[in-house]
Amino acid sequence: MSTIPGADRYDAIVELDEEAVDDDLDFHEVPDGFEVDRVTFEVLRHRLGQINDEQGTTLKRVSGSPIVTDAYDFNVTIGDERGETVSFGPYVLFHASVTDLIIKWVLENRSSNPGIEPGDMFICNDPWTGAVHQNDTVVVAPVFHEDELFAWVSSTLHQVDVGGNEIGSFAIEDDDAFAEADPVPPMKVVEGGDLRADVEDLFMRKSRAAPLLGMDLRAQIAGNNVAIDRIHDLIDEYGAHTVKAVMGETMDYAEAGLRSRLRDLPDGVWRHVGYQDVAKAGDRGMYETTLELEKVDDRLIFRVSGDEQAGMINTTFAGMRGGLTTPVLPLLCHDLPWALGGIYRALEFEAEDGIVANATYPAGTGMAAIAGTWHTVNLSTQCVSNMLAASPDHADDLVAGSSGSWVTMNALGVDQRGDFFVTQFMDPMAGGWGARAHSDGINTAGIFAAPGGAAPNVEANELAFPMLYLYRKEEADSGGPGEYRGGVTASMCWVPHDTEAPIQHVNSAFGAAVPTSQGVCGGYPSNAVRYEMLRDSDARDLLDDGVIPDDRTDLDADVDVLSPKARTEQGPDDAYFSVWQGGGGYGDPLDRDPERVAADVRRGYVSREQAREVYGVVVEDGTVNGTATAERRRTIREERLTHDAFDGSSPPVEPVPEDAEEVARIDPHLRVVEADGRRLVACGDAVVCAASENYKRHVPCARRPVDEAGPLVNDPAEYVDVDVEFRQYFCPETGTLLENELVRAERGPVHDKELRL
Amino acid sequence: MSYVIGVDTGGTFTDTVIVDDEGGRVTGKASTTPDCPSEGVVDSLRDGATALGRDLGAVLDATEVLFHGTTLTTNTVLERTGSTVGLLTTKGHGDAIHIGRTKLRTEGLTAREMRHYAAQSKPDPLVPKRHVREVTERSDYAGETVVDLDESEVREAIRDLAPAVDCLAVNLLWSFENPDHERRVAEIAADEAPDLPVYLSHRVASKLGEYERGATTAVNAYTAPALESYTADLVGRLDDLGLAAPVYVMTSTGGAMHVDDAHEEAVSTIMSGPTGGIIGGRTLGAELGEPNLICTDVGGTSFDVGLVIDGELRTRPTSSVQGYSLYQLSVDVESIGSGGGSVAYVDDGGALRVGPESAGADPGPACYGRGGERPTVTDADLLLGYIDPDYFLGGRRDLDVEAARTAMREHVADPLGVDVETAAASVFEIVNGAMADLLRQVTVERGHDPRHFSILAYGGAGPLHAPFYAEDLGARAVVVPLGDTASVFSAFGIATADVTWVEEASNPALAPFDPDDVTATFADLEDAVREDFRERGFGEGEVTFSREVELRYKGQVHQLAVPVPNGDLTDDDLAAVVDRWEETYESRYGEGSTYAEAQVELVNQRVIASGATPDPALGGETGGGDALDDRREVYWPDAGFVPTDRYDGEALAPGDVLDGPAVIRLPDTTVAVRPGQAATVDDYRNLVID
Repeated sequence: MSTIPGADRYDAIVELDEEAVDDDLDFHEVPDGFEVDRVTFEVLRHRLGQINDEQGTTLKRVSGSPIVTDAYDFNVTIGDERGETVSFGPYVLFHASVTDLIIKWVLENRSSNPGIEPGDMFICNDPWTGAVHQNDTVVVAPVFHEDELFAWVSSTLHQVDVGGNEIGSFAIEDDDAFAEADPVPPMKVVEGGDLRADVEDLFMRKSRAAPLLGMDLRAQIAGNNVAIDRIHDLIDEYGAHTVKAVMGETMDYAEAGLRSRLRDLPDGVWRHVGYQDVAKAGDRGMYETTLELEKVDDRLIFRVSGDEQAGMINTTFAGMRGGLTTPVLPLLCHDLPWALGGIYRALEFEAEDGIVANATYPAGTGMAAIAGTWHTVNLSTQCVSNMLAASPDHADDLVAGSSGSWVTMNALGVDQRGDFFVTQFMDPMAGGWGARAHSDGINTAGIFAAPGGAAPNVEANELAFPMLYLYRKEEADSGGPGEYRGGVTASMCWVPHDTEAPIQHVNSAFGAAVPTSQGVCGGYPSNAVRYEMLRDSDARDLLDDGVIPDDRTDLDADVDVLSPKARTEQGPDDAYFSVWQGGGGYGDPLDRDPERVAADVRRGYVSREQAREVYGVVVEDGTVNGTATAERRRTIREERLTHDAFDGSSPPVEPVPEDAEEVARIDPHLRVVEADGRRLVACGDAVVCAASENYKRHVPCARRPVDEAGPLVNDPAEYVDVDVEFRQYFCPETGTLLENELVRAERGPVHDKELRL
Repeated sequence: MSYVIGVDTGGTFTDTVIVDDEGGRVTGKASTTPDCPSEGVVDSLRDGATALGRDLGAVLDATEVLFHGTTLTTNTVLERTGSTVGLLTTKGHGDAIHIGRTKLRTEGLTAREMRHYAAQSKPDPLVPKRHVREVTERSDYAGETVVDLDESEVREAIRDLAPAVDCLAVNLLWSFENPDHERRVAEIAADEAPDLPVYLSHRVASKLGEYERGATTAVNAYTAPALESYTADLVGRLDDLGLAAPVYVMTSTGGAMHVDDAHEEAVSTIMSGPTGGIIGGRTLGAELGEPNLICTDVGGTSFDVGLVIDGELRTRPTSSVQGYSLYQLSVDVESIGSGGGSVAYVDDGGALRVGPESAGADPGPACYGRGGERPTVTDADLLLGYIDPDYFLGGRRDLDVEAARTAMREHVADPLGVDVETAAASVFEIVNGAMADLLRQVTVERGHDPRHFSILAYGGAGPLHAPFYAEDLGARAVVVPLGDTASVFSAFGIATADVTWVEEASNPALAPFDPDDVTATFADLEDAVREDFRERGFGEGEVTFSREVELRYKGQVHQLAVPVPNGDLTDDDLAAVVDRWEETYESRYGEGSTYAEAQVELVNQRVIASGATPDPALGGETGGGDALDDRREVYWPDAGFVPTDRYDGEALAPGDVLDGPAVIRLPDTTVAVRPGQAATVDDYRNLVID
């Protein structure tokens, strides 16, 4: 419930109230008993996917924005007559997961006035109704067959600037939605096939990049038109009932497939606690959200709780549901059609109101896609991956935390042709992915929520904008260590080029105070995000002298460490640096094959120091010193076993009873055994605790400063006034690293894996 | 009498088609010789000459042009047997080829693979980090030098790399705007390491985008030395045998290039293997009035599928190999590792698997009796009665049934606890199923209704397996092309190619464009091509040029190409080009999608030059005689072993209709006609099965 009178009317609609739909609007439905043969089903299911694909390709080609064409920050959907999603593109996944909410709102609130007619389209960027944030403008279009509403298509696209107080509409210096771009509830933007100039102007007038916005809007309309035409062709060829029946069966098939996979996994609860640092410019707080994922038979229940909404980092219900669902698709549904209308039937969402992850109006949500929503993607990735770790059959499908945040770099200035520009740099697409149970994470891989996106060429950026890159390179030690290492990310550093005017910047990210690509099953987190402005640098002088600085430390400059929510200006000699996030690791780094560590050192993915410190591998001249490595690894294990349990007590080392039988696997190190009618958590040959207890409270626990998590992990004090810890939990018998944890110091150990057998 | 020759090296066989100026044609076949592929080419040509009843020297002497298809470069990348490449690039950007714009993870994935995050990876780097050297130099977007080339650093890098690498790729930022530094690197390399081949990015792919330009250059460097040494060897041998005519190599564009251009064009032969069959399909389809074809080729090692839609090839502006994105125009083809040589085995989990490992040409299937001990698809075909052991390759090779039986028993039947026939039938069904899945993927899954297509089945095992892999698709018919040419149809297709040359350059500019600048860029591209054609013996009148520009709205990433008139351009010409572009844009993206507020930007200019070569004629042929040969037991799914009529395909005449079940024996392949189907012989001696 919002404190603003009348605001709740704009809330997302999950269940359509049929009574609220105008009586004159008739839905097309398949008659009972209508059947489709299997060949036609297969042909049409893929044909709908193909239409969807063409819809996306059209949008991508018409759009003028690298946000769309490189980062794939858009999506297109095809849904049934009530907006249930049947198909969407391989673009930003959480964009596809909100359109059903908006369509239902349109059906309830627009069918009588101004009416829903053939050739109409509705535009909406209200986060409470369903847009992820105000930039993510959604255009939904009904598809009619004869006089009946047959289907819906939609396109969503991140507009580079839709107004509000800051560049790129990221109002980082403000407190609530009133400072952001206006949220616009669904309006008829296309009427009977014609773009309405008044509605278009409403959007254009607010934007710092009106021409780009105009082109993007046309891209969305063009994409929808292609899909509508093709659906009509399909109806002409196969008949309306057949096409509709295929839509329904596709959703049923996806639902049945997901439920069957869930039945293969043990019942239980998986929890993760995550943080966003800095709610707005000048803030020094850290904001917590807890996800509790419960699996019961063939259903998943997402329970979300956490800190109260704060600053501009929040997301609404729509963005939260989309974020939580994102990892479910590639990790649990990789072999199924991503027909969300069916998949949602196996998912339930319960969230406290008024929290960062489920904010009420007028909380600031203008950056939700890269703030609150992304944050929920991370939480869900951890819980789903830990759930998969419990299954010997499905553990190979888990992926540790990946590209844990988006390092927004919005910029405004005058380009080399003397024209004004506003843009967002897409280089951070080169985030690293988390490790798998069978192999390392992928280096400079992409972002989890947009599997097909790509980073731009340096030449493309230098052609479009007044910049000269000093470098863009992969960063050693940015992937979380583990038995399998997280993928590394990259960094960039550039100076203004061929422009007189200073360049204005708005930064927005999280993951600076603590990394947010977490490891699983003992894997370390990745590096942390970092922005620096190297003021009054000697970069130009160096270039003039024939020297190219290929690391920022080669520059003589005043280093200005920028907050993850900052507005700043770049003068002609200021070099701008940012590094993004790699992926989390999997398993204990001491279990990594030393030869692989040495190979990583030779290729520059791991430093020699990190190899020694964390992997316990001594690399000399590029090769493993076996004796020194064995000694070093033994020392590390011994140190681990010196730690007390979290509460300060000495962890008991009780052997597993000889007659104990394994009941279930929790993860690769922990299992549930049964002896004398008691169910116990065991690790190696040691009993840890009763199965219902939190194993982390009964094993050796190291409580360390956050920056001990890695050389590219920052001291949180640079960014926040919050006491945070890096905790490690070890097997009491072998010293194997069971889990890492980055949490506020006052919080107890998170019970991350709890089977309910 | 003069000849046009097509010769195509596949994974198992090297195929030849020799066509005379009246449309008469003969075929030749020989085993591919992987260690020295030119031997197989000569063997195959000799086999063709024998079929003509002439001496190979006399045939080569009367040859006007010889076209060659080779998978050498593709195999070089897939098997990682290419050169050790050193890469010199601009300081600060040495990781560009490893970051690969993150597309290095996704390029070439199917929609299904794209969804399975946990199974994705980047390929092992073609140029490992230890062979990348950054050098101090920098140009900006306008081609202005920001930092001079540090020549001593270049010298040192080359000295350092030269002992460790076979060749050098050079990709400097903005080289397509200002190639001076790359040229200077080449000079220094010539000085420091005169024998080290050097490949410059502005020569291989003069386009904006350091990752794709660099990847294209690196793949070219990785493959060119192998291709150059191979073609030098081949041309030498053919010269010695009496060939005076030019030799052209098939490229992925659907055209061909002169062998002497392998140095900078090697990359254009990547993934070109299956292109021949598809352009042959287009030629045949035009003749038959069948505009929509699913072209399927079952060779020894792979199954390739490409589409002809409305009489047109499907091309893409870029291609890719093993995740690397290449600036290379290419015909759209999908492949899987299923062919006659695919090895059958029982895996650790007790499941029967077929391929992708192939027995290849050597040792080949067990039944070849060349030491192959593991059973293959061809062995299964033999044991099921489809292949006549006494008439394999027109009787040129006897097959050893007992060897096939032993291999099938030891590796499949015994581990599974079944008899040999059941084992062979299982292998047959599995390979057919895998092929059917690929067909579904390129048709149904891309929204093409197979019911509107005919399936063209060629390659050594295509005509045998097509009636099975086509079963559930409901295509109009299975067409086995040109009777006895079916097994060498790719070689026929290659012989229909023209020599094409695609030259491109990025020349970024905002409208209104400067007509002098645009004309000058086209003139440079055309002069280069004209010179190339002249060197290849084409007269001025024999080469046709067409020009294209790729335009976009400023800020867009994707471009749309439109034609541009030849000759000196005026402001009016270019204004008309922009108008035409806007029309094309609107027809592609819908009414109202153009946007008057936005500036139009020129990105690339392209010249496509084409030199016509003599094409083989498609003569109608006559046959005749008593085609029915004998009856023997053949296995049919659902029916088991059934007495089946066997026909001699060479004795079939246009108008003949054969009812299934039947097996038609052709010199180099076998056609299966399933129970309930009928095969009709048309005027071109195509077998149409429906």
